[in-house]
Amino acid sequence: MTAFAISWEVFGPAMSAIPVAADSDEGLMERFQRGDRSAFESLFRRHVAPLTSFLTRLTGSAAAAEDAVQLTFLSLVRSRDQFVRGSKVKPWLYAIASNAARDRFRRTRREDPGAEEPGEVAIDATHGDAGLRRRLHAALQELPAPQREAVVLHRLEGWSFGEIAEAVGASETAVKVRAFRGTQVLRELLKDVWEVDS
Amino acid sequence: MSTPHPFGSSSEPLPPELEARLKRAVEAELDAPTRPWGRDAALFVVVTLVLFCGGSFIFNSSMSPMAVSAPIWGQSLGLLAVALIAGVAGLAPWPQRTSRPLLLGSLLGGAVLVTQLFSMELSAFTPRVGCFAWELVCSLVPAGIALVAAKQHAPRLSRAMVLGWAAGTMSLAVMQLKCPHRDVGHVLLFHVAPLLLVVAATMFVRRRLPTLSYAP
Repeated sequence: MTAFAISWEVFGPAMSAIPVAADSDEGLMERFQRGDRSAFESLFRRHVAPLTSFLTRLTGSAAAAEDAVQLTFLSLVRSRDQFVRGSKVKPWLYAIASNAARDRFRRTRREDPGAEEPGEVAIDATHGDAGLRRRLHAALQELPAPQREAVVLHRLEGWSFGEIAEAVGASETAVKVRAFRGTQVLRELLKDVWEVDS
Repeated sequence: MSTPHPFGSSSEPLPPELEARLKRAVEAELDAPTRPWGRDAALFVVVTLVLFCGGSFIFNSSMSPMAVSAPIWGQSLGLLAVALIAGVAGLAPWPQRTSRPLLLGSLLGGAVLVTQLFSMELSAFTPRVGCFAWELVCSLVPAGIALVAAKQHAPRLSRAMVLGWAAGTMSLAVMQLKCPHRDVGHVLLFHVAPLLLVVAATMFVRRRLPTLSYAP
């Protein structure tokens, strides 16, 4: 047994022995790791729209979100061998997306310290209340990045705190605090429409 | 997962032209070979061991490693173990529940070993810039390897800090065997300070290096 295989046995989650459904994210990722390009196609098609939406909310800019989605899938392809079998694909993918968005923002700010990152977000008026959603986007940009990330994933994407903690590499308590504080700020900024949430 | 917020749903389809553009941008990468993290980690381990052995036995100058006392050897091997654990855990894509204890353990273990270095005589200060310089030079190669490998991961400062710590403790492990001076001032200024400098430099350089993948 090679050292690589030993490390796999020791550090790969015990779940790796459990068969996964072929059409689940995890099943597709396993197939992609074995070289099946059609599995990547399926993963791409399944996640590209939700990721773009998530990143638009996170960055406040459609162009930045498009860049970050591209970086996310490039990272998925380049790091497919780093994905640990038995773990969940979605938190891993969203962790990549958050990292890409954060780094893109940091680099933009370094190149142009005066740049205001959030831009105008193009929102399709045929989907929901465009004005309300524009206000939400604007309010989200008022939050510090970690709070925004927690709020978007928990309140808008419907993730549990445990899933967010795994994805962003923080403790569950820290994520809860970020989401709570972020929600408080949002509640204040959107107090005239907040009852929608209750 | 709970019900999504009524402010918006993430299930809206993407405009086809945008989806096609994104897909085209990624497709070129599909045929490129991946770079397994295990190869980077193995390279780091081999280089660290070679430098430790080389530094301890081959480049022998004033102090033979055979003449070094057992406690000093113990500290040095402990620092080497810390360097290897920190290096591998810092480069591995393991889930946090696996990597975090290893990373914290290597930081704490290394910190304890470094404080043990102060169990030495409170004798007169020995200024030897050579120790400082050699410690920096010894850590250059492992730090470089770690930084190149770290480009395959998201640019987290904690990861860069651990990798700098790995390179610095390896170098300190070698200098522990080579340097006969045990006064606090010398150890602090010419051995511990370079270790901290390597950590800071690794973090600084990582922030400026391009990132090939944002995988955690």
